[in-house]
Amino acid sequence: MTRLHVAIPESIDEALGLLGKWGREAAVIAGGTDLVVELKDRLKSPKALIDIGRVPEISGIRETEGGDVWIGALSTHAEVASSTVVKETAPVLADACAQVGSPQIRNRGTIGGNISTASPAGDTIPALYVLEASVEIIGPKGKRVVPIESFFQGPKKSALAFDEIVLGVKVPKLGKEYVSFFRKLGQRKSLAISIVSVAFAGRCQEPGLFTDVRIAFGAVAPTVVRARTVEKAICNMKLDPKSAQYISKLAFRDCVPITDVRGSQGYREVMACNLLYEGLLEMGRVRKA
Amino acid sequence: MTKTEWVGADVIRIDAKDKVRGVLKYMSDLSFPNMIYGAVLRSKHPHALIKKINTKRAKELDGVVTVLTHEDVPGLNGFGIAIPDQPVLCSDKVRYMGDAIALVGAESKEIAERALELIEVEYQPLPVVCDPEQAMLSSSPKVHETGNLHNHVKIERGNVEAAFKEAQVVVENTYFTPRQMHAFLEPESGVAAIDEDKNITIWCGGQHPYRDQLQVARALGMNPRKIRIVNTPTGGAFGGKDEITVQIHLALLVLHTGRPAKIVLSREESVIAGMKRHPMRIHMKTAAAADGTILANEARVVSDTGAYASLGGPVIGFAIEHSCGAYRVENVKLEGFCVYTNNGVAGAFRGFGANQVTFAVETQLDMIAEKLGMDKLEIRKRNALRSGDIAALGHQMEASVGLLRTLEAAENSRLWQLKEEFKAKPSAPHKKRGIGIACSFQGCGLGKGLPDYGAASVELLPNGQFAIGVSCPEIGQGNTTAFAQMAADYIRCSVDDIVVLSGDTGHTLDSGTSTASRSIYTGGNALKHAVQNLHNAISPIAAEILCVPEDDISFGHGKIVSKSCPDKILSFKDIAEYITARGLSIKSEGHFIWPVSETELEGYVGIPHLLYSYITQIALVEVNTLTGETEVIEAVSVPDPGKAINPQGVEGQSEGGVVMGMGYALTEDTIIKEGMTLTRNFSTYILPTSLDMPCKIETIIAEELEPSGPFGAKGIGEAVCVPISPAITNAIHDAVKVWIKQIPATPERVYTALKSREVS
Ligand SMILES: Cc1cc2nc3c(=O)[nH]c(=O)nc-3n(C[C@H](O)[C@H](O)[C@H](O)COP(=O)(O)OP(=O)(O)OC[C@H]3O[C@@H](n4cnc5c(N)ncnc54)[C@H](O)[C@@H]3O)c2cc1C
Repeated sequence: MTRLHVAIPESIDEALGLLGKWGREAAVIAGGTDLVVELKDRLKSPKALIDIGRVPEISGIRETEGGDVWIGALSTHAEVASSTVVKETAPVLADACAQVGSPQIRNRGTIGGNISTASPAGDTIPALYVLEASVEIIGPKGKRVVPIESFFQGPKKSALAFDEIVLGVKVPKLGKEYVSFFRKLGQRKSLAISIVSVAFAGRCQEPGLFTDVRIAFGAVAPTVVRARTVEKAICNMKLDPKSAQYISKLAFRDCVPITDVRGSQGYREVMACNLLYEGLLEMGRVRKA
Repeated sequence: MTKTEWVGADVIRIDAKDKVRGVLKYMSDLSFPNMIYGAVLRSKHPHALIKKINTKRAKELDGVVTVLTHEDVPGLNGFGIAIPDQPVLCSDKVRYMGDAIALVGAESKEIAERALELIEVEYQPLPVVCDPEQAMLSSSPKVHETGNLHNHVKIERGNVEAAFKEAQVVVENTYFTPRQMHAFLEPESGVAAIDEDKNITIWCGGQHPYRDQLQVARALGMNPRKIRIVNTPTGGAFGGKDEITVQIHLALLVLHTGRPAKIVLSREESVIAGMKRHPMRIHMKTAAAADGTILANEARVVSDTGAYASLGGPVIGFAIEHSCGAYRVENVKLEGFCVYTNNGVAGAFRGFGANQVTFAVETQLDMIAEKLGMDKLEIRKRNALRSGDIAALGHQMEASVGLLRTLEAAENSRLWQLKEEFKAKPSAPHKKRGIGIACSFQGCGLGKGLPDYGAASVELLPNGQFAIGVSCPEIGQGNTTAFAQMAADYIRCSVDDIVVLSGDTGHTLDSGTSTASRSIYTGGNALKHAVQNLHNAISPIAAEILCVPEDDISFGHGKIVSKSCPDKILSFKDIAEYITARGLSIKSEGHFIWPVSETELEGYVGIPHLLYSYITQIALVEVNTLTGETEVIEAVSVPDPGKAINPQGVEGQSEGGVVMGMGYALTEDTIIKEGMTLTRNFSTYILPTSLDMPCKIETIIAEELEPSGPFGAKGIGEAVCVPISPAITNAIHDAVKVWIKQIPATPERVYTALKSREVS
């Protein structure tokens, strides 16, 4: 029988050392909610598991001197969803984390794991896109910071090299005049993988008037995508329910979905538009008709 | 009838504490010293000839104890409740992805799984039969040599054509229903052991220990007496453990190795190999008069039973029997086809064919009501079967009929009374609310032409308590508690003094299955006779002790009393001590044969039924017009179980049934393409979660007592999950004016229907 070696490093240096030693034979494990499924389905068969759960440098949520929020890779979805600073300064991320899986999954699954898996349906990712977050990575050659959009390269493909570890994400705070939402459409209300998800953030100084609009969709392309066409269209235009509906129809322009057991390509395209429209309506910041 | 002390009370379930605390041991929790682990090699193709099986490399693997193939099946290499057409281990052909080819026994589960990979099977793939309609064409490749049409049912009464001509409205539609999965918490699993005299004991979740015994014995070529089956407790079954699951494989392993063995299917293996609900394509044409009276119903039902028969034949019969709903219909033309394909296997599942046709007929009825501008509840009342009526198959409703009672209670429910208020308050302007109602009936027992009997035992224990035995297994529905309640009232003792033995060929007499909404009725009636015999055995002894004549003895409230001299009292313990001291014992048996309908339908078995339970259910839904998502907000469930032996148990069944029927209506489907299962576990097979459940399910029990039932009881395990599905789809129509003709009504299907309505 093949044996699986498990190491539990106590520091980031030790973790990097172990990764250097085992190389491509190793797999990093945090909450294990993605990795264990892959091991069970034999999509991965590493010789060693490096359990980073006790590495202090990658845990915690705090405000940085530069005025950003730093979220350690080990932060669980439950921790992010209930963090006061995140709720105040990046509520769209707290909302997204609150909609991941189920209580059990939110208590184990981490934000670092969610980005490292690089699924186009990963629920924290659209929120991180609209927050214009960046990913802090450490490897043998030291630290580097990658803007969130450059981190993802395709389904399950990211800028992360096999010998690197995600330290955390740096999230610029959304100003007080920003409004935001995260909405996901699943096959049921919990334990649902997104058919389509949408995150929205925009500055709104008077009802219906948005500037600096950022919109991202999950599960409609090989990676999460920013929907720049519709972003531009919404900016500087007075939105009422009618124009919101009309403009939301541009959402599909940046989406190239596929058909799978959860939904067809056509349905996903329309849902991208409708989820955006519904979110705009429900945010209550559209001018009354 | 004398007042009951336990029947009708919410007696706490016997197994509640152990289940809640997680200490109850299910079969797969059992282990024995020196036990081996079994694993099954499944087919790599949905349809293929087997050219060669080579187990040499697997046998050589360290830790492998045995590798068995068809050559190692000593008796009949087949099983199946109706006809044994499913091989225990395939020899020359595979017909679905779950077909078993070889069986490994090894020192560990991991080794057993490794060994599976070392078994070499040479296949010659055959064209896959995936569409049941095409499967019936003579040009189709054959799943079985006998042809792909396994069973055909055709019932005609009156003159449908004439009725269609004179009718005010005729609606005609085609409906599609999904391959629902039982999704029991405990997958198919069990353990077995063998002694020096080659007596085999199998602990395995199941629904009929004596039939399991028979099927195992047949495959092993052994005397059934040498095989003991223990089915209780089963971690959920819903019909999916009615057929053999792992029992024969376990028996083969212990027989060939002499060691105890354990098999636990993984969820994925259970999804691929296990039973499902028959997907059906139902074409239905229904006619009604201007006052809503149904004049005629024509149905053509095609049922996909997959690779093997199991209960596919009886299921199509049952579907036809229930295809006109619980209504009076004089002119019928009903035809059902049960067809073999390479799409998994389908068999018994809570509702047994009623779910599919009820979805169709209850939608038809709403369409008719809408065309006539009639109230949806009114049209059901108008057509509801009443006692003495002639039902669709031409048989008379001889037993208790509670449909009207359930409709009246439903009408008086808060949800129905305030329906306009509920509908007026959707949670957002783009969400629409609707209310739907549906009814059904459910044949109890195995039906005409199938032997249906029960037996029970009662023993006075030395401590004055009683051991009662009924073999219908406890599959989670709570029948053991109900048996204890009924026995306590028959004996006239405390329910706490009853010990229940269940589901064990070693300790209980054959009472048949825990299926067909039959175990309470059967077990209760058998217990009634057993207790009469027990009383008859106790009376002379009590008379002897009290020095009174035997006919002076009466039983009441935990004691035995002299009628003429009421201060002469004995406890059951006194009797127990008296006989124990004399080396005697008192154990009695009771036997019961089901009454059957007088109507005989030539050529068919299992239909019609004599006894039915009835039910009306209501759903309040909210549909999101932007996404097609449907949320069930509240539900009302009004079952007529006859006497509710344990009302809390009925409520439990009712609530569970509502959620199961909701999953059927909205999310659940085992998707198979070209014979391959695409939804292999619970990430893609979408069961409702606690968050998806309605916030409120109100159960109103409408008892229509059945004179032939114990305390007036019938059965309720199945009906509770049936009409809720069309109640939900009818509510969707009420909300957004689209008719749902294919379930599950997923957000995408509802949205697509909404859009095509807008276009047309
Ligand atoms: C039942 C269930 C429901 C789910 N529901 C959702 C859902 O609704 N939405 C959603 O987005 N996801 C969902 N998931 C997926 C999963 O829970 C999340 O992606 C979670 O955030 C993964 O985090 P983890 O810590 O468990 O990752 P792990 O499984 O530990 O790791 C995942 C991957 O990331 C790598 N990794 C982890 N941390 C690091 C790090 N710091 N540096 C480098 N590599 C790292 C691992 O090597 C592995 O390849 C669900 C999973 C399950 C099993």
